[in-house]
Amino acid sequence: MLEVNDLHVSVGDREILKGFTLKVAAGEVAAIMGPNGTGKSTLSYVIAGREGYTITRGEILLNGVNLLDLAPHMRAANGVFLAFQYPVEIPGVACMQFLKAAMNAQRRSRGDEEINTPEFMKRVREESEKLKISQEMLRRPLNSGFSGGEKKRMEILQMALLQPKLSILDETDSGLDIDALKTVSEGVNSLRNPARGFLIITHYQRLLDYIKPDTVHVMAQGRIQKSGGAELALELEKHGYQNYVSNEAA
Amino acid sequence: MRLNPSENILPFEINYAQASAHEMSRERKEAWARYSNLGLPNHRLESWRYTDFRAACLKSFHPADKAIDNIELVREHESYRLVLLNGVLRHDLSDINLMPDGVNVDNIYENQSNLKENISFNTSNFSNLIKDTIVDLNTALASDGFIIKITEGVELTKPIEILNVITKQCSVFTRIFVDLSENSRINLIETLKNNSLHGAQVNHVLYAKLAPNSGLDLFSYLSGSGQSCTGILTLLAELERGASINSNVLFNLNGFFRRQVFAKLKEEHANITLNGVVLAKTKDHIDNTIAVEHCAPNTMSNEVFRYILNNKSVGVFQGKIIVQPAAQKSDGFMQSKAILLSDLAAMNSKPELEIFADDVKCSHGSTCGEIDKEQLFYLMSRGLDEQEAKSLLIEAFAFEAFSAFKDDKMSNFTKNILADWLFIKRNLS
Ligand SMILES: Nc1ncnc2c1ncn2[C@@H]1O[C@H](COP(=O)(O)OP(=O)(O)OP(=O)(O)O)[C@@H](O)[C@H]1O
Ligand SMILES: [Mg+2]
Repeated sequence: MLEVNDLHVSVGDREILKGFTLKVAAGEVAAIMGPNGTGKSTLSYVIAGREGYTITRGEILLNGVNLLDLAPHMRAANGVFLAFQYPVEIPGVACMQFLKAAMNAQRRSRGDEEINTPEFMKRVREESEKLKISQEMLRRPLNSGFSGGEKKRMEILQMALLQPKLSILDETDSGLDIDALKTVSEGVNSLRNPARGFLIITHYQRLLDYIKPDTVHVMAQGRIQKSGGAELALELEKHGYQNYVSNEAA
Repeated sequence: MRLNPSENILPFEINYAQASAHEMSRERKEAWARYSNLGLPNHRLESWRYTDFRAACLKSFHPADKAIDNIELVREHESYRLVLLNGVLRHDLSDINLMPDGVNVDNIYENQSNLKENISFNTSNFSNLIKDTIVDLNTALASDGFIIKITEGVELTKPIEILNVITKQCSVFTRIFVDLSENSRINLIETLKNNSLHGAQVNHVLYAKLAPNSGLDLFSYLSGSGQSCTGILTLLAELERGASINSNVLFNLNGFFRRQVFAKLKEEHANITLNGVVLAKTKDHIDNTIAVEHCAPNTMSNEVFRYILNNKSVGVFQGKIIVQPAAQKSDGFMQSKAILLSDLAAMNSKPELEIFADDVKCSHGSTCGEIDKEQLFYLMSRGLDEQEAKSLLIEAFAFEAFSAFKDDKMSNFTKNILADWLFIKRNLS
């Protein structure tokens, strides 16, 4: 479903992604692990359509649609969802107002009717209870003043409500306490189905104990260095990235 | 320089000729004399640097003719409504005889006893703050308006609304004097609606005098479908012990406009909140100029303004906080922020602190910029298109200035106006 081919991306005159290639099949959970500053967040931003990157070569296809041609909201309409490593605080925009606007925007783009308020409230209540998000938190402005863990849970709530085809989780585990890690993982697992794909960026094996990946990819220096099964994550836990980082680029 | 170069006479001389057909008090004559001497303020005066009012009034309009216009006015608020049409009271459209107990409304023109004129037309208490002739001009020319007196202890929940409607090219000078006795409290809505398609000039003064522990909730709304409204709205406020004013202003008109506030916190624990939102669409020039003087200890002032500037519009914010030596433990806060929606829009911001006491808390801040790109991307990544995402962010930005709204009805009213404005903007761009 997701196909990234030979992607080269620069910021200013510095190349960050250097021929990144990856395929994620429908139903697959792919994990990407890699040292700090390798370009993992850059990759997720480029897939979601953030400004400020120069794409010099390559393509990103989602079910055959070239995402690079689309504005961010159209990528969302096509089923892309990014759980941000650093969710943005938006003071003044109420969580509920935002959630409804997001759900309706996507419904409209699919040609569906807007969700009615009781139905919306019900959906939010169901999903927020699963994620242990309090009603009080939902009454506050979006992400503003939320703790690190609260922000991450808010991202997963949005994912649950929007039901994307491709979910990219950029270090969603960082900042979560042990219990939250479990609830968030359950949230992800309950969305798993043969039609959906996941790209999970993490530094820690622990998350992958809860969300069992089908494939694990080691990313270093702007591209995938090695791909394997879940056992690859265990190997990384033991030996770190030393085998994947060449000296010449450092 | 005092002469109007295009007509070679003083602007608004005709208004004075008409006004002086009635007997005139000494205050009014003296005010006219001061104005004749100095003329309208221009950019060479420090506080008019960004807003050259003389240049904007090169051609002064005449007072409206006395023809009775047939006009339908929808009621936008549930209120005791007082209507001034093209500067003159419309009895038939006003609730002047329906006022509740404890509220006494007099028309300044009909019941023109000298005593009332003296109260409402003497602005000498503000002479240390006012350095120009705008209020003098109003004093000399006010063609209509009200003296509203609230009896001790009376608290009104239903607002009093002053609706100033302009339907044709003319100049309008109106004045409201609100006298709040001890422990009284009212909501006042001050609406200016310019529907003149051929321009209008307005000089409106609201003079509020607040006795101890009284309160005024003021919502000023400048609006209308008409073209190029040039004008000044002045608020003069004197607050005694424990009195408070909570003022919200919303600009949504086409034109060249200043709202100026001169406030004196005369006694302990007096406090004033002055918030505002400016929506500027085309070539509008909107100015908020504020001077708050803390004269007594433990007084508080708070100002939050948001400007949303589109196309070639210009915003001005000038805020001055003066803390007199006696006003220890005073607290003054002032903040203005602008979002520029176009490269051609501009914002001028000038905060000033004049502090003569040592134990005070005063701060100010101003920012000016575009819509936050990170926030915009975050919203778009969830499926909102660019316009919808921007609207949401602009609405949130504007509402930071209206967080002090006490009245849900007013709050919803402004929300709807904002939504309409954003909707129109969206369809034009
Ligand atoms: N806008 C930018 N301007 C300059 N440099 C940037 C910009 N965005 C990313 N970079 C650089 O690109 C590199 C990759 O950054 P990125 O955030 O993608 O790394 P990451 O793999 O997500 O790291 P981490 O594990 O720490 O989250 C870093 O060296 C970063 O400093
Ligand atoms: Mg990262």
